[in-house]
Amino acid sequence: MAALLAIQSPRVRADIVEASEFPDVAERYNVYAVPKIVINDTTEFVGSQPEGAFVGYVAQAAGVQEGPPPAP
Amino acid sequence: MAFLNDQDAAFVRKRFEQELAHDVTLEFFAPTAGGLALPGQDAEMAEYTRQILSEVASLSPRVHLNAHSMVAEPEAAARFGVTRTPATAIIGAQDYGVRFYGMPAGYEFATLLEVIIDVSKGAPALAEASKEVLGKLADEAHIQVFVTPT
Repeated sequence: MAALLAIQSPRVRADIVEASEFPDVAERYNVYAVPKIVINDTTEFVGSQPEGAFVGYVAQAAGVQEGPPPAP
Repeated sequence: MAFLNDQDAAFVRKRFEQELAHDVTLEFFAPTAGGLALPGQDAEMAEYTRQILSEVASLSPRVHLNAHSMVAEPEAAARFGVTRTPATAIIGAQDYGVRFYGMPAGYEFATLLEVIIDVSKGAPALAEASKEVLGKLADEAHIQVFVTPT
């Protein structure tokens, strides 16, 4: 799912990290169960999520511009 | 040594044939490359990873492997934003910012295959509502997905 969001949006990038090979990183983010997802070091959750919920977490971490789109 | 048995290799080859659209390049970074081997588990893990990727690339003319050394090619590592190894940048028609850190073994092998296919297709089948939100993100989003092979 993370990769799909990265493919869709140039503002999203996705790292898949094998936790046992990078124990220092896993420890830094308190990875005790997988999959654990961390977005911008500010938003995190554990376990698979449906697309809408996952996108919601991304929006929470990165913020969403409100208001009408700029005129063409 | 082959990681995939004949049956699995045939399965992957068929999926690649049916589903790959654009070419995909696996830009792989090991701590080092070539004749100079660093001792220790990290180097061994990286070498296994390179062998797995090499096997995957051999299953489709659309999948390519470029192996880099983090030590010898720091500018390439910087270009792909790679800071630790083993790392694989999965590049399709463009660089979508998808990276795989570690060895894609066990369940993660399946994850790697899906990511290669998704990157190759380049146009994910997301809900319109998702696309709309992603199109309005105020800042960049760096998603890290922590996984294990078992």
